[in-house]
Amino acid sequence: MTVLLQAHSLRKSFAQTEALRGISVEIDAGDSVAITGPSGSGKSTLLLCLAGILRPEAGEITYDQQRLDLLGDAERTKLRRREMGVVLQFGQLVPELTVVQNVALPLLLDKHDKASARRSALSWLERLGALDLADQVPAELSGGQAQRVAVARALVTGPRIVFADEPTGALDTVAGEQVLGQLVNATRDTGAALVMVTHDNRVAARADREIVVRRCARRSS
Amino acid sequence: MIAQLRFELGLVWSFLRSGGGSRAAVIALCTALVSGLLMVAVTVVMVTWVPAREHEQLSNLVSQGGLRGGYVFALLLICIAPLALLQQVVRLGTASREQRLAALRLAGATTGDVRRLGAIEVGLPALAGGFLGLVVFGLLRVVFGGTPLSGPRTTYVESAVAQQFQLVPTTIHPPWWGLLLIALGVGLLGVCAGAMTSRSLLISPLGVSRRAPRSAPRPWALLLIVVAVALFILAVYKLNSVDYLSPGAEGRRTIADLCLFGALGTFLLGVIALAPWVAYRIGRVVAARASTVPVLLAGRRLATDPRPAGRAAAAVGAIAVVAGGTGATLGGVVSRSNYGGGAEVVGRVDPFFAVSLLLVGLMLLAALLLVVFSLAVHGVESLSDHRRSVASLAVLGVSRHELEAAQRWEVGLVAIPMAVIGVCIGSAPMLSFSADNPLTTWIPLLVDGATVLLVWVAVRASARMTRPWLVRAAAPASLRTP
Repeated sequence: MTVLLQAHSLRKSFAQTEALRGISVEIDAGDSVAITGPSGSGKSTLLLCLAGILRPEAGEITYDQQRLDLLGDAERTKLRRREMGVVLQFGQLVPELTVVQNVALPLLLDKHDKASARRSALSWLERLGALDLADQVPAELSGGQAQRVAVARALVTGPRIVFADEPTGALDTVAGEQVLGQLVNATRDTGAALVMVTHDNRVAARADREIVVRRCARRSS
Repeated sequence: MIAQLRFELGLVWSFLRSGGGSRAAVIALCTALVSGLLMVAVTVVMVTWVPAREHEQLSNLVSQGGLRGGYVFALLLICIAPLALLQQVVRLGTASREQRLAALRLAGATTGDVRRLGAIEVGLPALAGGFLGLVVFGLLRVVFGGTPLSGPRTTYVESAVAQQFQLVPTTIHPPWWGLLLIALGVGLLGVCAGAMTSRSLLISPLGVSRRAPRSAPRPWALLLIVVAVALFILAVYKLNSVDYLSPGAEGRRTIADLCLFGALGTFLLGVIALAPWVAYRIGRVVAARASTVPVLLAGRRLATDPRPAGRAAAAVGAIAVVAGGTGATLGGVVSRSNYGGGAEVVGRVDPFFAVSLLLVGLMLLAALLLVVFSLAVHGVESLSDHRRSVASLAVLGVSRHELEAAQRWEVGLVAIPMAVIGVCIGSAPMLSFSADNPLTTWIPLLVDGATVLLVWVAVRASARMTRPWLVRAAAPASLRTP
């Protein structure tokens, strides 16, 4: 398999707390990886650095032979918009937009025409069994429904890699299982790599491999 | 390019439709008022070159060259209150919509995209308001218009009092391109306000935070007040030294007037700029000595982030300066009318002064009303910023009454001292000239007291207005991180 994303000796601190200390990771195309570890070990920070949302203070991140850590915020955002999908714990949908508008948003931001963006959004909603929610607003959705919409939004651009930070952390067992199943199956079907942060062993078991982050967050004097 | 603009306009339209309408309406109202007042100001300035006074009956404020500058200056001062409200509303719009901003970033919008959307969201209603200013201008012309001395409307006002209300020339008006320029300029001001405000925020896909707080505010604004005092002294010296019979007296009088307006403008700027420092100092002192939960909360909020409260209370200071000056002028006018032992003091007041002071009083009340909204907007922003802390306090057992009291204290601890500083600065120079009559002392003191009392009422009213947001912030749902 070809290496899609490679991180080497990452370091990241928040004020005096060192969240990442010399972590190196490789993600292959189509790989499915669960990042696990105790609370405060820096696993979410690692995922956010890999997705280009946070920038490490030291170390290198290479995405498809391109140095992600050297790109500016706008370039990283555009790259993420086209090549990556992100699902966070609470869905994080735009409250004013309808479900279909939320899903179509990354395409519209990328200057796709409105009709084709809507078609793609509806197609993903149908695939995830959320077509009937298309015209609702996020406030009318349950946690599981909102998370399904977030998964659709993450996949609508046809990303090569999807990042999910505790995607089922805010859901009950049944809803969590459903969302997780849809996320794993959909990424597998599209051939996208999946990187999930979780502290739930059942979630980690759905991935092809597991990266365990040992507690490295510490306060520097 | 056009497709992108259409998409962005469509997004903004969605935001406006789903709850952003009232905010847009307030923005449009503020810019309409500013635009309308600027159109009146330009019309009045035009009287200097196109003497409307020869063709219509107008108030002395417009027709007399010596008073016109002061009138135009007053019109510009009135714009401070709607502009302060505009700034607060724009800030509220950015901070309280953090969920949307973060979600947009998560969906792939760059920081530039989000800022552009913010600018459009504020700029569109601001631009609409700029053009609505034409309606405000028209209404002011109808209500306060002069009476043409020829043509169909030749019945001019007999009453000297009514004549002083004829404040807007109707026989002249700015050219169409001038009106267009004012409307567009005010609209552009809104666009800039929208774009500038989001610059203080760090918008990432994970959420929105304010940029790391700068150092504590410093009292540099005191320098402005010193400059204002110097200008005031210079103006008084120039006024006293003008020999009205000598050649070039008018020029020296103009310089004196400019110094006077400069002094007043610098005073106001100083008071406005001083507000965050006042908020910071008071916050620190109060937080160290607080014995109740509401006062402690208010003091800590002010000490850690004094600028928003300071900005909200700055307009109070400006209003208080004008109120203080008005009180002192009123004292002087009444005492002069009473000179010689007349029985009916008010009846002897020159209608010109009576109407001018009445109008200033009404304007101050209107400005104070806008300040109530401005303070309320600050309260909502503060609740939005501290909603998790408010919810935690509610869970701990702090009553809603105490939480509301904390809101009230947070605003009042800055607004009341700003009002006191303002009335002192406003009335002191005038009082220093005419301390010969008890009326010249008591009337200003009464006006100053009434101003502080009204500010206190405004603080309470603004806290009352934020109650629904307080209830929402105190709900357990606010404990969750969305």
